[in-house]
Amino acid sequence: MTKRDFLLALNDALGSMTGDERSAAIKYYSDYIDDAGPENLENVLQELGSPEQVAASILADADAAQQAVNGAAAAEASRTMPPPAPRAPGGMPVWAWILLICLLFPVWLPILATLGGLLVGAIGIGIGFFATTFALLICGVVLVCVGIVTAFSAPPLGLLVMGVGCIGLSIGALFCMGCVFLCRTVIPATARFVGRICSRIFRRRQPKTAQG
Amino acid sequence: MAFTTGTAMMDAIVLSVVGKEPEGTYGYKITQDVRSVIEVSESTLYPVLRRLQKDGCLETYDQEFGGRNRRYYKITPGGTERLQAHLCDWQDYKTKIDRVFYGEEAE
Repeated sequence: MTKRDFLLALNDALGSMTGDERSAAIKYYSDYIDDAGPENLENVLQELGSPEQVAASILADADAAQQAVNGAAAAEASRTMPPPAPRAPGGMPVWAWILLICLLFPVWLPILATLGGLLVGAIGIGIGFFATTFALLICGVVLVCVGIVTAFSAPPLGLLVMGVGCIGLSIGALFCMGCVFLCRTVIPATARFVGRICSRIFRRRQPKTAQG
Repeated sequence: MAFTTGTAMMDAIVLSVVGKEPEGTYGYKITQDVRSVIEVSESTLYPVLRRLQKDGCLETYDQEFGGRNRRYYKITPGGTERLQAHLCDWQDYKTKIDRVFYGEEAE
């Protein structure tokens, strides 16, 4: 590609700019290629990239600069105006969110109640599990003891009672393993899950950190 | 190098490079000076120069050189002011980062 071709293509690609802007850009790159020296023409054109790429970078910066100006102008304008109502994430004012929540209570109240009920039920099951474990273990121990005592007076009955007691102890031991599992795995996992949901809800209300 | 150069940093570097020449300097030389310090593409500089010019930090004039008119960029008082502000920010930033990297004794 020759210098002239490059500049013509660049001129075309910058069609959306004003005439003054465009000719300033063309002059810049014309000077640039000349200053690099004719021997460096190929290197320079390669480094610069295609005319379309060069135009894109110029237009992108112009766009960003315009947005920055608009942003600065908007900031100026809002500083003279009274401060707007506090905005919640999602762009709606706080009062609108409160109204929405109140109106929708037939929807979320039953859902919340169901979830609450499920949670209480789960806790109940857990408590029952622990209680069963204790009951089985205690019963097992008691029955074994009674069985031993009875064995002295009525051996077959005593052995039977001891046997039942042992069965109770073994089932209780299985339940014990279940309790351990509940304590080490299920309960922490549930707590972490609830914690994650809470932190996600609350993190959304925090403002985003400023970009340096 | 792993660190990207943001807009403000580019502005500061370009203003500094141009500011070192009281009589002004031209696009190709500015680009070579900047590229000797940081890795940027040759097409990065023009948008920066254009923006600084629009903001009144740089002014341009044409001067004859080798049978053609070469466009020179010169820093304005407004540009010097903005450069000073950037330098303050840079000192502040540099101190804070050094504190994180090397601890309090680095100050």
